[in-house]
Amino acid sequence: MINDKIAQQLIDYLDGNLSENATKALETQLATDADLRKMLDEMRELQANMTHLTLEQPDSKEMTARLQDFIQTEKKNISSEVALQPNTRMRIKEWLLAAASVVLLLGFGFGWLWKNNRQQAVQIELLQDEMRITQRMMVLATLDKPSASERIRAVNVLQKEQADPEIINALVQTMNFDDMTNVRMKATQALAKFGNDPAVKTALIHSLPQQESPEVQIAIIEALVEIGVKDAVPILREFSLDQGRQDFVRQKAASSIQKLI
Amino acid sequence: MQLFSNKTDEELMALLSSGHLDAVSILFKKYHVQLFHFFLKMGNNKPNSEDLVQAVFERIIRYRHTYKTSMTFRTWMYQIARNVRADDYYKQKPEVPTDFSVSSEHAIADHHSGGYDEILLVQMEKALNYLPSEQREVLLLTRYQQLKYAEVGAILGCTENAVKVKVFRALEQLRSIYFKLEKL
Amino acid sequence: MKQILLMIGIFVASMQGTFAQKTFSKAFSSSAKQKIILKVGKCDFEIAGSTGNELKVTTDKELPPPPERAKGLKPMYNNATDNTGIGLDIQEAGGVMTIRKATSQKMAYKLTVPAGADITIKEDGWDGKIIKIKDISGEIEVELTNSSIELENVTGPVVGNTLNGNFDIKFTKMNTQKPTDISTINGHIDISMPVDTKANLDITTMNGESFTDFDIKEEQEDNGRSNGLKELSGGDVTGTINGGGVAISLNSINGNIYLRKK
Repeated sequence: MINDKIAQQLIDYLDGNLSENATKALETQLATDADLRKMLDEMRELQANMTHLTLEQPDSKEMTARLQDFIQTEKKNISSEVALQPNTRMRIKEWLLAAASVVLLLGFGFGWLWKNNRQQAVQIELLQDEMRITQRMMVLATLDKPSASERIRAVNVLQKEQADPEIINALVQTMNFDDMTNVRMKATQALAKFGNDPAVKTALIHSLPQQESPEVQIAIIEALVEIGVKDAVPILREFSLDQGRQDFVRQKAASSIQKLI
Repeated sequence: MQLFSNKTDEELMALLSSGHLDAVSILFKKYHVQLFHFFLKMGNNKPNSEDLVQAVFERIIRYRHTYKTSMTFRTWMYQIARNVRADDYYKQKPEVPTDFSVSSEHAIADHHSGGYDEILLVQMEKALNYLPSEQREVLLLTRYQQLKYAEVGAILGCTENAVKVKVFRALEQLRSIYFKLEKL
Repeated sequence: MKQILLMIGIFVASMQGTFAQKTFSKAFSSSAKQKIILKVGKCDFEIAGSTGNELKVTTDKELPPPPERAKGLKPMYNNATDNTGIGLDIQEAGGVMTIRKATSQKMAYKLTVPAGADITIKEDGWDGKIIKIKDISGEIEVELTNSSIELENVTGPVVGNTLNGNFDIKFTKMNTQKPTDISTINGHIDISMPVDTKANLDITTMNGESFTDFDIKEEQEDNGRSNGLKELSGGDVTGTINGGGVAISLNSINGNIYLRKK
C-alpha cells in the first residue's frame, strides 16, 4: 500500500507538478521498479481515456426555455416582494385574519357554500406555506446585512429550523467568512445543532485550521466534541502540539481528544 | 445582454444578487452541459440529470444573496449540485446505480465518429461506474470537470493534499477494476 | 509696565490654550442613516452622542511639526492621509463617516456625534488604549485587540470582542429586538442593565467565573452561594430574566463575567 505522502507526490508527478529534484529522484526509482512504472503508465492512460468518454448531450434548448420561465416568475416575485415590504409579515397576517373571518361567515351563515369554504381553507394553507418560505428567504438574506447584531439574530432564527442543505450551507459560509468574530462563533454554535448532517462534520473539521480567532477555534472544538466527530482527532492532536497556538487552545484540543476517544 | 458580456463568473453573481436575474443565463450557458454530465456520470438518467441541473440553477437564483465572493462561483455551484443530488437521493430513494447497461449502450451508440477504440471506452465507462460514488465523484471533478484541487477541497471539505490522495486512491481502484474487467 | 507685561503674559497663555486644542468638524450628508466607522490604533477615544447632524473631533495633543527634510511632502501612515490637520483621515459618503488614523503619534481624541448614529470600531495594531463611548442609542460594533472599552448610557445592541482588553458597559435600557453579543479572551466583561430587562441570557466562561444579582431562570441549577452577586454554576448559564426577551450572549475564555442590576 502506497502511503498518503507518496500518493500526493505521484499525483503531482502525473500532473507534471512535481519539483525538478523530486522528479529526478522518482525517475531513478522508476528505472528499476517495473511495477511502479507500469502502474503510473496505466493510470496515465486511464486518465486520458476519461477525458475522451463520449456522453449524451442534454436538451439545451428545452432547458434554457425552462430556466427563462423560472427567471420570469422570479422577477415577478421580486416586484411583489418589493411592493409588500417592509411589512410583508403584517400584511399577510391581516390578509389571513380577513380570510379567516370570511371563512367563519361562510361557515356559520351560508352552509350551502361549504364548497367555497373548503377552497378558502386550502388557500389559507397555501398562503401560510408561502409566508414561511418568504420569511426563511428574508432570514437567509439577513446574513448579508451590514449589522452584526442582525446577522446574529438571523443565525439564532436559523438554528431553530429543520436541518436542510440551504440553511447548513448558509451557516457554514457565515462560520467561515463573516467579518465579525462574534457572528462566526454564533454560526459555529448553530451548526453544532445540525450535527447529524455529515456535511456539518466535514465543514467544521475543514474550518478549524483556517480560523484565525482563538475564540472561533474554541467554538469549533466544542462543536466537534458536542457532535462527537471522531474524525477530528488527528487535527485536534495537531492543534494540541502546535506551539504557535495559545495555551488555552492547545489545552482545549488536548482535553477534547480525551472526550472523543 | 450587453451588460453581461466579458464578465467573470463572480461579477455575474454580483449582478445577479443585485437583482439582474438575467445574468444567470450566461452562467447557465457556460456550465449547464458540464453539470449535466456530472449528474449523468453520478448515475442519474438523462431526464433526471436535466431536472437536477434545473434545480441547481433555481437554487442559485433563489439563494443568490448567500453567495460570498470568498469562494469561486464554480466551487459554490458544485456545493449546491452535491446538495441537490443528496436531496434528490433522499426524496426518491432510487435504485442504487448498479445497472449500467443503459449508459454503456449510449457510449456505444454515440461513439461512431470518434477515433478511439470503442471497446476500450466501454470498458472504461463500466469501470468508472463500478467505482464507489465518492471515488467516482472526485475523479469526475478533478479529471473530467477539470476543477482545481483547492476548489475540490472546498467542495468536499478537505485540504488540497487530501484531494490528491483521494484522486490517487480512486485511480488505484479504477485501475484494478478496469483490468479485472479486461479479463472477463 | 508691569501690568502690560502681565497682560501680554496672559494673552500669550490664552493663545497657547487655543492653539493647544484643535477642532475639526464635518456634517453628515444624510440624516436618515448615520454611521461612524473608526479604524484606529494607538490612541484614546472618547465618543459622546449629542443632538445635531455633525461629527466634531477635538484633541489637546499637538502633532510635532514634520522634519525639515519632509518639506513639500505629505505624511503617509497606513495609506491614510491627514486631511484634518489633527492626524486623522476623515471621509464621508452617504451618511457613513470613515475615520482612520493618519499619524504614528500616540493621540487622544474627543468625538461628538449624533446620538442615534451607529458606531463601528476596528483596532489596528496592538497598542491597547481606552475607548469610551457614552449617550449613544445606535448599534455599536467593536473589534479590538488590546484596547479596553467603556460604554455608558447606551441602549444596545452591542456586538464586540477584544483579546486582552475589558468590556465595561452600562445600559440605560435595552434594545428589545437586536441581540447583544460580547466576547473576550483575557479581559473581564462587566455589564449593568435595568432591573426589568427582559432577556434570554447565554453566559459562558472557560477558565473564568461569572457573577450576577439578577434572578435568572436557569436551564441548569446554580449552586446557590448568595452573598451579593451569586456565583453561577460552572461559570456557564443559559436562562431567562423577567420572562425572556432579547438575546444577550456573554462569553469569555479566561476573564470573569459580571452582570449587575442597574
